[in-house]
Amino acid sequence: MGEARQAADYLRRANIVVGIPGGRDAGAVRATRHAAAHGLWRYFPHETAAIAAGGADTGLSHAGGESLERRYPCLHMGTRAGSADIARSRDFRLIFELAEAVHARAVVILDPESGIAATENVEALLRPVLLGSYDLAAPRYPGGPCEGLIPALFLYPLGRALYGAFPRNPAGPDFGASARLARRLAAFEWDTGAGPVWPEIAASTAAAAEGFRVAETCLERRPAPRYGAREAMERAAAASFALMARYESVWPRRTSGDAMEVFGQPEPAARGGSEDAPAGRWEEAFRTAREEMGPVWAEILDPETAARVRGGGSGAMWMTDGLWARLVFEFALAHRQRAFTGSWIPAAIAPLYLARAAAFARACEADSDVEERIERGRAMFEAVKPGAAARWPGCTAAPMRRGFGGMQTTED
Amino acid sequence: MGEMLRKVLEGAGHRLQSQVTTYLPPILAAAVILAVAFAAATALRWLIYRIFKGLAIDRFLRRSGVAYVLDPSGRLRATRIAAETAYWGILTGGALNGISVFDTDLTSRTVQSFFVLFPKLLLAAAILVAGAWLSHYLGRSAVVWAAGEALPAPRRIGALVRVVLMFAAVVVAADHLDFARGVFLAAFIIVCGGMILTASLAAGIGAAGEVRRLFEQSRNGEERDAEPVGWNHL
Repeated sequence: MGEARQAADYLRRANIVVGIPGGRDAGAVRATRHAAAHGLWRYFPHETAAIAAGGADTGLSHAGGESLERRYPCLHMGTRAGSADIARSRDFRLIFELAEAVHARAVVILDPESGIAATENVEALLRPVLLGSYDLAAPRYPGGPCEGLIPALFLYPLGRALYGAFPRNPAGPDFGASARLARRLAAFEWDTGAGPVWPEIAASTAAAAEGFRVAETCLERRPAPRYGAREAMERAAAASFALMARYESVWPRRTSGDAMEVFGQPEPAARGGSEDAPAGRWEEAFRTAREEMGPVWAEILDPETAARVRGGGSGAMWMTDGLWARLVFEFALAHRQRAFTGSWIPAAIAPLYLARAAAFARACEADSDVEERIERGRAMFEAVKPGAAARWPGCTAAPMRRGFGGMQTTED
Repeated sequence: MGEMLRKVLEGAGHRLQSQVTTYLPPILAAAVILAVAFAAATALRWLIYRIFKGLAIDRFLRRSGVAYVLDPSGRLRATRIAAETAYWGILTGGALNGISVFDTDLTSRTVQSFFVLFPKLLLAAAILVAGAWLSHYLGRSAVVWAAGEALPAPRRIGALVRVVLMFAAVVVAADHLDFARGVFLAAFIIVCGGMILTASLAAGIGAAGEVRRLFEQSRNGEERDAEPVGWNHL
């Protein structure tokens, strides 16, 4: 909190804090800073604001420069030691501490590595917070029918089943937060013990699990991917499972929430499949992994689920919504049970995700409604959840008979 | 001749009587002790299965991963460990008591050696369990890592990690027990040194280009599993 206080003494007060975390690419940070300053000046000309940017100089200092930047002082958070993840999570904490120290009414996080430096994003992310009294403005992206599959097939259905109100893109690197949520996130424990948790997923989960008001806001472009498919899935699973353990007193009792308010006009996902979806390549990657990872999965999954994965055909259509939901909860349970030695478990789900993505892409080729398919997947997660809660260590939810067989779906 | 035969038979009878009166009572006593120990062990095992739950130990076994090392299905429970430990402990105690009834040099030495070696055996067993636990954990991590990196034969890589670590644990246990310590240590150094030398030669001669390409890829931050342009999982 010392650095944030020092900055607050300089700034005294700012209604809005724009945070630009991470940022080893100085050019991208500069571009994002410019976009943020222009966005503030254009859409919120009467608000005082400050920008906190990662990278560049060492230590927290203020910088002058162009007139707009003089109007919106920029605080450099410095290049931090350690891995990029650790540096990023420290930046997040510092941004929220700064927001708390200067009594900001809203915080907007802009990712310099997303490849988007849009002034409109500032307005889109702040409007639900400043005008709509929401605590979290999560991004909603346009895109092809099969883009953003990790949020659509894993993060969103799992989060929605667990916490009720949950955004479609909890890993979206740009979001807005209220003063109330910023205060909570300033005190948030970003480290799970096995390393820093994915900050965006943590922020979305904390907001949903702790009863903050969550809305979505439409942004014009989907950001460039930060990770490849396997790494993204591994990190998303590690973050989600760690947060499930952290909020294990909350989610077993939480009932499913309604769809949340969306600011802006969401682009409906196109019907039909994506021609460039490399489903065949994913199926091939899964088949190769299945030969090698069978014993590993057998150690994690229930015998029945493991047998279904082992006996699945050469394609991926056997990976149904119900089977995927069971797999995810069984992985989460195994991760929870092996608190000291389960660090390899999230990585083991990545090939299964590729099979699920291939099955989804193939199903979308059959000209079906993509949104409806995603919602059907979410319903399966909600159907499986009570069985998972009953087996969760220390859970005192209503007991169910042992095994995920406790959940019955029409599909299974 | 008849008299001599009678004396021989009488001598044999006396000797036999002496042997029987010397050894049969201890054998009977040992059998009784063993029977009592068996009955007590069975009764105690039955009792432990019914009254001991050991939930905290179960939780520790699962969280630490030891449960999966001792039983791959992960269904090993503290109740079973406690019951079986008590059962075999009482049986071993009964056997040692039974042996000591004979009161010979050999039996006395055996019992004495057992009690001298017992703490060492316990520690050696703990070393082996710890080695098995570490090799299991790192072996699994190696399989998942190798599969994620698309390396050839991930399971063999995982098995190799397990074997090397388990071998190291055996070397440490043998050293602790002072059992052929030189043989185990030399074998370990020869095997590991040989493997590293072989791998280095193979990488240097046969796969230098591939290794260089991988390092350059890593330095340039290229994604090995990069999707087609425009594709985005997030």
